[in-house]
Amino acid sequence: MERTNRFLSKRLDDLVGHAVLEHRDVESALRRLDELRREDGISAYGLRLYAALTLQAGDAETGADMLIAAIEARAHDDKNSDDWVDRFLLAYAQLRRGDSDGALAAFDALNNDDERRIAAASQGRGDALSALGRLEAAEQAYQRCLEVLTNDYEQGFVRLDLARAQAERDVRDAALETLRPLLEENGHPTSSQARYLNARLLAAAGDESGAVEALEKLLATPGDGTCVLRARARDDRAFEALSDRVRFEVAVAEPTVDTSWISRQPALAALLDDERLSALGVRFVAEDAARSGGDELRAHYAESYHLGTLWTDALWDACQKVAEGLWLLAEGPSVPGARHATEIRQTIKLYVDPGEPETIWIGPSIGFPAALFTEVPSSEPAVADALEALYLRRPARASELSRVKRAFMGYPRHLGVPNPYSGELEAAYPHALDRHFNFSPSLDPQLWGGAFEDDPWPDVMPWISPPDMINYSRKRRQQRRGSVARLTRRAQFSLAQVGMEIHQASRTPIYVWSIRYQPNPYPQTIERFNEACGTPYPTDLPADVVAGIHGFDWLEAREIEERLETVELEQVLPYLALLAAIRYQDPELQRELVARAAGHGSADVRGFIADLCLQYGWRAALEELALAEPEAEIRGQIVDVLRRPMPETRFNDMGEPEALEQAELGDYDDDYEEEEDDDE
Amino acid sequence: MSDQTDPIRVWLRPVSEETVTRLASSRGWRLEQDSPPALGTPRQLGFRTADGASVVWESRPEPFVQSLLVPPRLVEPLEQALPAWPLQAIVEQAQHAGALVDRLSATRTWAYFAATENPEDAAWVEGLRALARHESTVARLCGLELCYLAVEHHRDTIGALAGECAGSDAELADSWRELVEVCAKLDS
Repeated sequence: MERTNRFLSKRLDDLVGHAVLEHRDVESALRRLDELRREDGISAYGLRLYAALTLQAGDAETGADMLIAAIEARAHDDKNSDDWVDRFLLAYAQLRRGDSDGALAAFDALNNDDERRIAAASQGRGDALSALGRLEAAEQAYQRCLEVLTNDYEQGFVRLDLARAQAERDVRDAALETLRPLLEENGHPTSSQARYLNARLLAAAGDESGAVEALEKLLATPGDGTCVLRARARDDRAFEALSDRVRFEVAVAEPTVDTSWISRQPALAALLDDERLSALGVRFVAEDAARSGGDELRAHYAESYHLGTLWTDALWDACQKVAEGLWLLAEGPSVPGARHATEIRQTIKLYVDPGEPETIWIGPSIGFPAALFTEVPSSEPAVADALEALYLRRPARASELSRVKRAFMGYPRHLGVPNPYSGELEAAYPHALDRHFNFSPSLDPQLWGGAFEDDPWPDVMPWISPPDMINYSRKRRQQRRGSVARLTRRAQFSLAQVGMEIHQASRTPIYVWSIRYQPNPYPQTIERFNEACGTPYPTDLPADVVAGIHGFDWLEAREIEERLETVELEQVLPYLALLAAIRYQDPELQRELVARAAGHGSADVRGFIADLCLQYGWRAALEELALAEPEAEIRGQIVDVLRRPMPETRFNDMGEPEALEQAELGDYDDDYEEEEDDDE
Repeated sequence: MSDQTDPIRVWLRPVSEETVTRLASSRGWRLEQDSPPALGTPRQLGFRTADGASVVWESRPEPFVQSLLVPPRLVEPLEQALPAWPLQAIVEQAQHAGALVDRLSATRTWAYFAATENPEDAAWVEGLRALARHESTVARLCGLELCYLAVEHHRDTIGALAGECAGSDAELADSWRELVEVCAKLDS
């Protein structure tokens, strides 16, 4: 029987996690490491990663070869280097390829003073001895492991192995005793397996009632794992002799869902037989679950504002209005959700108002603002089409995101995001924004800096330890020299790339949205949202993008240009600053600014434009401004600037302009924000 | 059908992003790349045409030059659709334009073109010499900056020019001396 070795799985998960984080997915990691190996450019650590990937994929032969090469490489590079992990993994590779004697010798040779390593080697010995059928010796090895481990959680994994060995040796009472602590604990990853083994042991001991009760308790929990156990129990010969077959059959039978409330609705009935929906993993719910699912949605909007979304009264009201009367119709498919330090999946929710069954409302989770649920007709192709378009047809890379929108997002100091500890609004400097988006039901917590052309994070997050996560996060916030700071996070479902740029940090810092996306196939969702919330979002933006950016400013260049035509002179400067920030990549803007300065009677405006050009390092524009400048003093200042290299934004190790830190501390020129506020 | 041949660079007069994206949209091209400018890297918008060809618009804020990278078969139609700037016209404007601002604009593009595609050509260095000796401080500053593009291939000529200007251009003497030092370092 295959053992669940906690030390091995943790180590493999950790190594595979690193490989995936470096190369985005297992296939790319294997391809790259294989290239390096062929080019003779792979390090001992690379060989270890390669081995972990192949071992986890079940290829013990290649894994063992890679580990032997890793051990040799380490010995060659530095005779004192620590190859314990390689030798530990190699012992497991030997066990997996059937060389149990070799594996036992390898585990025996893993001497170490470290308690965790002693425990790992002891458990490995137990596994090898079990495979050799030397069960009593295996039990001793597991007992030794339990003696060394002090943590109940970690002991749980070894306890299960020990109980299995005892069960195999038919010392049932000892096995039941070994399992007892695991039966009392609900959250442990081995609980289900321990309870199943417990039921088998009780059945074997003739305690039929106890065995069925144990199965009933175990199989009452909903979930995919329970389905597997139910099927296993039905075929398990250990339960064949149970005399109370009726009770057993009930316990192991697949539960059926009474969907008659859907069948009774002509507009909905056909959905139950829609094979596409079934293939997508859509599961319809019973009437009770439907009612309570609707109640749960309404209860979500009966509480106070939730973290991760910038709520306004209008948005809250709009969500309440959508939720009114909805029942949960179905759940599924399950799709990757936010990328925290492990994989999180979201089960899509389909709602219907039984009074208006012609319309289905689709949202990714109860936490996603209901006002941005997608509304589709309850016809057979429409619902499946929407699920595929919104959640399953995921763009693989940035080149598939064919639209870009840029807009003013706000001034960091004037924007507010709730502090997750106090709930109070705080200025939206990058750290506060990171905390805010960490709770977002629509945008991803991971972000990347302008040094990366595309999302460097894996599509699905592997498990990764918090310290490693911090290291990766910092590395991925890097910016390119000579660029504007851009921090991008992905929308969780549309995979749009929601970039936030930090402009003019040494003056009055400005945030600009730079959003790259595939157009929303359901623009009416955003139309309805804009109408309800009084917002100006382009209707082709995906709903998850709008959920994430709602509450911040949204002002596009065209609107700023229109305002510039009508505002008073003192308002011109802040609008010019915004325009420069939004259109800084557009060479036409430099020409427009130069033309505006040339014809402007205000020295303040001309000087301000020159300063903007300096901020962005536009030497050619400065030269033209100098040629056209009528006042000798300003001309002299521009010429002075042109004598020197154009300034370059310096970034800190969080990928933010260093000058922004000064701004956060309050040490910056706030000379025109008041005027901008007055205009708002 | 994608083009296997090397793309050709078409130099452009200043053109707005909007013009480029409107052209792409009217021809059904799909945006594939949207890269901001950085040190030594241009702003790039990359498109894929309906038949699979790649068209890349590049805009360098420093020096202020723009170009398209296109497959040979698209050169002619795009030269008609966008304000193409043939080399001959660039050189003509750099040497003979009446307004200084126009001369500077053309010389920047000429210098960048030459530095990247025809660095051994001596004519562009003469163009820089004309700016370096110009009566306008701004023109001389522009020439000084562009000289840095030429130091790699015309080290001796630029070194001599910088030395001459360091002696004659009191206003920018320090900056010219720095260029002399750069040339000397390259020499060693």
